[in-house]
Amino acid sequence: MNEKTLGAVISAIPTVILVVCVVAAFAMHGWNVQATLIGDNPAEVLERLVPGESDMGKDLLEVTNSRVSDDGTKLVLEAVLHSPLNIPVTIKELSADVVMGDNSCTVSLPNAVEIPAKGSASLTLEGALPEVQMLPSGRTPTFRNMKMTLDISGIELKMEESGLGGAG
Amino acid sequence: MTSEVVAKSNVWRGVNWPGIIAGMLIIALPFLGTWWRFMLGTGAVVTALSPFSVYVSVFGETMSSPLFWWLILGLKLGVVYLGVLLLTGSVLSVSNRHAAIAELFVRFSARKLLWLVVAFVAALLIFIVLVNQLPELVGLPFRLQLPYLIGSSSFSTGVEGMQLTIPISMGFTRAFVIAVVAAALGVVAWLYQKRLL
Repeated sequence: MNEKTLGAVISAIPTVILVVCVVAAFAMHGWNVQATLIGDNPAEVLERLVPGESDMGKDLLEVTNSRVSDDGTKLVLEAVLHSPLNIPVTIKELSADVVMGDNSCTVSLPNAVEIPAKGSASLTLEGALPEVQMLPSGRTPTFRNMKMTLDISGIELKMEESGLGGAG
Repeated sequence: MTSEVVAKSNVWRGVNWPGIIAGMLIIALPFLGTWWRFMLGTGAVVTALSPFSVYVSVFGETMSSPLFWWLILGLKLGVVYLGVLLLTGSVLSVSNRHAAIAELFVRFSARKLLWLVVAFVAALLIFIVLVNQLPELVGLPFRLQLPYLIGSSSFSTGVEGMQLTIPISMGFTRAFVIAVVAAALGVVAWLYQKRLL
């Protein structure tokens, strides 16, 4: 083999390798262009990440118990927060004005809480009562001016009032 | 005895040492991992790229394209082939009988990795420039300021009652440093080969 031929062969080999690989890709996927280009259906991937309609219909926050602390200075709300997302979420901040009958106070989350993917977490919201107040029995608290800061894998999402779902 | 030592030393001098090192690095390169990493948040979106691997993960869901996988396999084989050629050419330089083939092998393979590294960096730069210009071109109500290849920044946008802040970070990996070293050694090997002739 002379030098010129050898040079041509050497130069052609990388191109041949690439062409063979492209042909193999199509052959392995039954010559289906979409299956070869995309592989996993992006809609299916999106479906796994984004909550379905049935999940979105549920209330995000569900108050399970409300009471005044023993010394009568704090309103304590126990709640369960449901996450419709398929990824873990950390609630960094949560505050809201709670209205119970004629009484109202601002409650907030003392510590960050982590909610597992599509799971629920129990929260205890606390707020100082402006003065000693009696909670009207049998009344469900209503939330106003709710503010929430979520941390989703480092992405921070701050939400106010709308889109948080009802809680009572 | 003296002429034997001189002959041996001439043999060693005939070897293209930078080519041998570059060849070995080039052969190893496809197996050393990705060259550049891009991240949104602390792992919400992770993209790790090199000419030999593409990894895209969105909230833990990895995405892949079969065609890309095969193309990457082709590039891996192609680069290993270049490394083998460079290594063989660098060793064959010792023999006067195979000097022409050695020169051909080294001349063909020595600078290819440099072009690959340059093309990779240029493609990333063009992509980042386009992404940074995109909101202005399309008329979107926010601005993107991605760092150029290395660094971190943050992107913020909001609609009524909602504010989204996304930290962005990107940088080169150690594998890229090795690729740059291998590419530089390839150029040195090419120059060295010319001197050997």
